[in-house]
Amino acid sequence: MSEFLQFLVAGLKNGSIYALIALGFTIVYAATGAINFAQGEFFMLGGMLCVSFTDLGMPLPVAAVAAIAATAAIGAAFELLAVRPIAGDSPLRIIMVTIGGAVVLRQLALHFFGPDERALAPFTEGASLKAFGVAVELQTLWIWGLTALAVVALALLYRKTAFGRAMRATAIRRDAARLVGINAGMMVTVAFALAAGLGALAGVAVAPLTQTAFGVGAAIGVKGFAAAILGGIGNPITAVAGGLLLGLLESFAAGYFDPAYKDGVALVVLLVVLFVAPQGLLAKAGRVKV
Amino acid sequence: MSEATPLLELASVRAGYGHAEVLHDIDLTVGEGELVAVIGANGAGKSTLLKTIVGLVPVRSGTIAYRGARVATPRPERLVRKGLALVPEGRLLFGPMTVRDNLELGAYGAGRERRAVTTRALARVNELFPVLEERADQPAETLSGGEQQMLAVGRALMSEPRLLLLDEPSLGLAPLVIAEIFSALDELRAQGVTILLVEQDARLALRHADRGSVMRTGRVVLEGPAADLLADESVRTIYLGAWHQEGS
Ligand SMILES: Nc1ncnc2c1ncn2[C@@H]1O[C@H](COP(=O)(O)OP(=O)(O)OP(=O)(O)O)[C@@H](O)[C@H]1O
Ligand SMILES: [Mg+2]
Repeated sequence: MSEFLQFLVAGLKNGSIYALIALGFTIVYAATGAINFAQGEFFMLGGMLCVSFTDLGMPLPVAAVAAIAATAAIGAAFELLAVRPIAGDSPLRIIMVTIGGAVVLRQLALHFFGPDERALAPFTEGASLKAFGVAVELQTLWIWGLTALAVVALALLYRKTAFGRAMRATAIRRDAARLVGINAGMMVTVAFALAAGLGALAGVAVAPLTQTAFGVGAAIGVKGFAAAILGGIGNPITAVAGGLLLGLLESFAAGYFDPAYKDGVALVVLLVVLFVAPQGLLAKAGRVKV
Repeated sequence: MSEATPLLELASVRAGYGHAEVLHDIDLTVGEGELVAVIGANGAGKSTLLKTIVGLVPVRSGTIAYRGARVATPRPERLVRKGLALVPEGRLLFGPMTVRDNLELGAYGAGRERRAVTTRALARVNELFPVLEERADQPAETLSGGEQQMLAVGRALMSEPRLLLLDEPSLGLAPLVIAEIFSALDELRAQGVTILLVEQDARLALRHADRGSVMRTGRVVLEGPAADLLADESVRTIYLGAWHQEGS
C-alpha cells in the first residue's frame, strides 16, 4: 500500500510538470494550429535563468519570478521574430521554424550558461512530510501548489476576462475575431508568452529536485508533447489530465516493472495514441475548446 | 446625388487572391443613411468586395475612402472601432461559445468604453431579436440557422456601427425568418444606420434598398435607384439566371 502511494506521489509530481509543458503546447496549438517544438527550451530557460539570477545575488523568490517573466518575454520575442514573419503559412512551416528555434535557443543557452549541470536550492528547507508510510518532499508540495495555481489562473483568464475570451475567439475563428476588433496577431504573441511562462514555471519548480542544464529541454519537450497528445491536443483541461496520467503511467511502469521503462512510456503513449485516434488528435484548431 | 461626402467611396478598386484578380475596377459609393444593395450571381465577386472593404482581402490598386478619409491599408480590427462592421458570409460565429459571449465579443473593439457600450448595444440587440435573449446561455453552434444569422447580425451591431455590411443574410433561410431579418434591417435604417447589403436574391434586396449595383464577374455592370433596377429587363435576366443556377 505504501509502495503504491509512493509511486502515486512520484507520478503526480512529474505529472504536474508534464501538465505545465502540455498546457504550453496546447495554448500555442490553439492559437496557431501548429506544434511548438521549442516548448521544452522554455522549461530549460526558466531553470537556467533562475539559477543565474540567484548567482547574481537575487533572493530566490525574486529570481524565480524574474526568470519566468524573462522567459515569457523570450517566448513573445520568439513569436515576433521567427513565427510572425511566416504567419498565415501552413502549420507545417511554423513547426519547422520552432524546431530550428529550439536548436538556436539551446545553443545560446550553452553559450551563456556553459555546459555544466546547475542546482537550485529548494524553495523551503525542511524534512519531507511523512504520512501513511509515504515521504513527500516539500518541493513536491511547491510543484503541486504552483501547478494548481497556474491552472486556476489560466482558467480564470480564459473564462472570466474579456481578454481571455478574445484569445479563445481568435483560436476558434481568426477572421471573425478580427472583425470584432481583436488584434489577432497580438493574441498569438501572448499565446507564445503564456506558453513560455508556463514552461519556465515548470523548469523553476523542478530545478531543486533534478538539477538543470542547457540540454534538458528536448527530453521534457517530448514528455510534454506526449501528454498534450494524450489529452487530445487543443484542450487545456484534458492537457492537464494528460500530463498527470503520463506521470502516473511512468511512475507505475518504473516502480512495478523496471526503472528503465520510465522514459519509454512517453514514446509508447505517443505511438499508441497516434495509431488509435490520429484524426481526433490532430484536429483543426477550429474545433478547439479552450 | 447629395452634395455631402459619401460615407464610403470606392474608386477603381482591384483585388483578388494569389495570382487571380477577382475585382476589376470597382467604383461604388454609399451615402450616409442609405441602404445600398449589391446583387449578382454566384462567383460575381460580392463577398470579395465586402472582404476587400474591411481588409480581409488586400486592395491591389484604387482607393477606398471611409467618412471622407482615405483608408490606405484597411484592417478589420481597426475599421470596426471606427464604426464599420461586417456580417460575414457563412456567419463565422464563435460556435462553441455561448450566445452571450458571442455578443459581448462583438463589443470588444470598444476598449475602455466596453462596459457601457455592451449594456447599451445588448439592449438594442435583444429588442431587435428577442430570441437571442432566450438563448443567451446556449452555445452558438446549437442555434437554428435563422437564429445564427440573427446572432451574426447582433454581434456586428454590438460595435454600434455607423456602416453595416451584410453578406447574403437571407442565404438558406425560410421566408419567415428572412422577413424577420429584413424588417430588422429596415428598423436599423430608421435608427440611422447606413447599410451595404450583398444579396443573390435581387428582388428581395432591391425591395429594401435605395440604390443598387449589379455585379458580374468582378465588375459593376449596372447601377441606379433600386426601383429602376427592379423594373429593368436585364436585371430580371440576371436575376433569373441566378435563380436557375441555384435551382440546378
Ligand atoms: N479564398 C479564395 N481564394 C481564391 N479564390 C477565391 C477565394 N474566394 C473566392 N475566390 C474566387 O473569387 C471569385 C468571386 O468569389 P466571391 O466569393 O467573391 O463571389 P460571390 O459573388 O460572393 O459568390 P456567392 O454568391 O457564391 O457567395 C470566385 O471565382 C471565387 O472562386
Ligand atoms: Mg459570397
